[in-house]
Amino acid sequence: MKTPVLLTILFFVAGVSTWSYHHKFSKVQDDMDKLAAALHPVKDVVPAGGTVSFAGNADITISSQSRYILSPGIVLSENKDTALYIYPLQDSTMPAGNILWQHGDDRYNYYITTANAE
Amino acid sequence: MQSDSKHILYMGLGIGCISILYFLSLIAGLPIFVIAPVIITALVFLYRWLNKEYQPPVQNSIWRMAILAIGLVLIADKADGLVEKHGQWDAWAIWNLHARYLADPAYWQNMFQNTEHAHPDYPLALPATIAFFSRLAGGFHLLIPYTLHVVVMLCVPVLIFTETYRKGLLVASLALLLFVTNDMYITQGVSQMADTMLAFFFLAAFVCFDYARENRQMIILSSAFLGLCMWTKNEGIMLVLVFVLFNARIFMLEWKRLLYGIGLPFIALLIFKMGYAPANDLVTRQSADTLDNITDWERYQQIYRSWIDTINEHYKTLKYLVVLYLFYCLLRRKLPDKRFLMILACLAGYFMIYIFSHQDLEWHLFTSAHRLLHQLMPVIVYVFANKFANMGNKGAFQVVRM
Repeated sequence: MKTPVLLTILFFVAGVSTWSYHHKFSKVQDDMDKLAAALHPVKDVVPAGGTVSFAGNADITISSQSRYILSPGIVLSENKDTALYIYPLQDSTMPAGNILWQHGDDRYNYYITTANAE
Repeated sequence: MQSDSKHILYMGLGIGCISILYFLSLIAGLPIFVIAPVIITALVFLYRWLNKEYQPPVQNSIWRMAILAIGLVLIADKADGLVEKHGQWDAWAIWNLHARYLADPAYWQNMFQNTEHAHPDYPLALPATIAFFSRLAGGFHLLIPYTLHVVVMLCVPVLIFTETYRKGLLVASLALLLFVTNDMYITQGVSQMADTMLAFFFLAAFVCFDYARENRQMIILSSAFLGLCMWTKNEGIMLVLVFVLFNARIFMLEWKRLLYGIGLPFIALLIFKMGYAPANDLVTRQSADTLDNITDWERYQQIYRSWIDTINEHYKTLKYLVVLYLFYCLLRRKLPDKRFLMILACLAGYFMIYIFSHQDLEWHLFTSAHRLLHQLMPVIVYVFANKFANMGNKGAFQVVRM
């Protein structure tokens, strides 16, 4: 089979598939996108290169998604003065420390706190 | 080797070349306007080296083109229904996460601080390639990993098709049909994880090695793809060991070509592992319990049952092919093909990884057994397609006899 023909078929199919993927999801907001929208202001509160602890009462999926969303500038780590708390909406717990930022959506309440008064 | 197969292999080499040079330039702190020309120049040289030999002109056949086009369209159409926006769990928790770090020249080393669940010790062929294109595009976008994964997913059946159709179009078409009808292959293909890329590189190593007898330069290519297996996933190291052990005599005679091919990916992996990555958890968490695991027969049974369930659910056709082939070998009182034994040895290696695993075995099997089998599925199809097509060349009667 002539190479140009083969490559045309391959890249045409890949191109159409990519277009279809974009068309299918560009206007769809899934849980990850909702979390990304909620955590968007965190980048204004925590400086780039900063490290925060993950705390609260959310599962491992939410903590991993938060890490993905805040990357590469902000790293989730343990035992830091600044912490990101995420609580399910029905959980009325308030985080300890000074609240630097808070936000709520239809699933969670989000807080950035610091142990030191800044 | 014909030009069409070489161009598919070139795409694999291109991915390897991009990811290695991008990682090395990231360490050197080079800006993108320097990295991009360096990588493009390397890709041009690689293309010219791969195509320097004369290739006889090939004829187009409307049937071949039509069958391949229909097959690829069907795979892409299925992929459209099976894809998730951000990929599967490991895609965003590991692979795309790493790509986002590597795309940032200022904070890329932050990646190594994520020691919980993010596996920063995983090799960089996939994330570094995505990171390079993200840098070119001005930032990470989901379309970049998706496009890369679709191309890799399609390259696998295309390479098997181009390698087989000259010997027998029927066998090549049936091999393509196996991919079209295998939802697991397509789901994993667009899952945005590195398993399909590893499968592609391992397949490419098999294909190149089959030409080594007539063209010794192919040993360099085969070794390069073996190196890229290691540069893609940690389990690639085990696949390479099995491959090299099974072909130890040839590799010892041709050790210079082995080093030419495997050298660059191996050096990149060494720099990554020794200089940046934390130790792999499977290795560091070995303890006295490991001995208990080895002698725990329940563990063997559990892994075996899980594999059989996975095979019955996703790879039934291949299972019957393997059983029939083994039965045929038994009847004819001959050893199975060496490549087939190599794949069985890889499976045995994967089996032992589960034995040694410190993680909850049920969870480990549930999350990865299907992916390990997915990594070997293309080489199994290739070996069978190659064998059947060769027999087909000797006459239809012999095919029926097999």
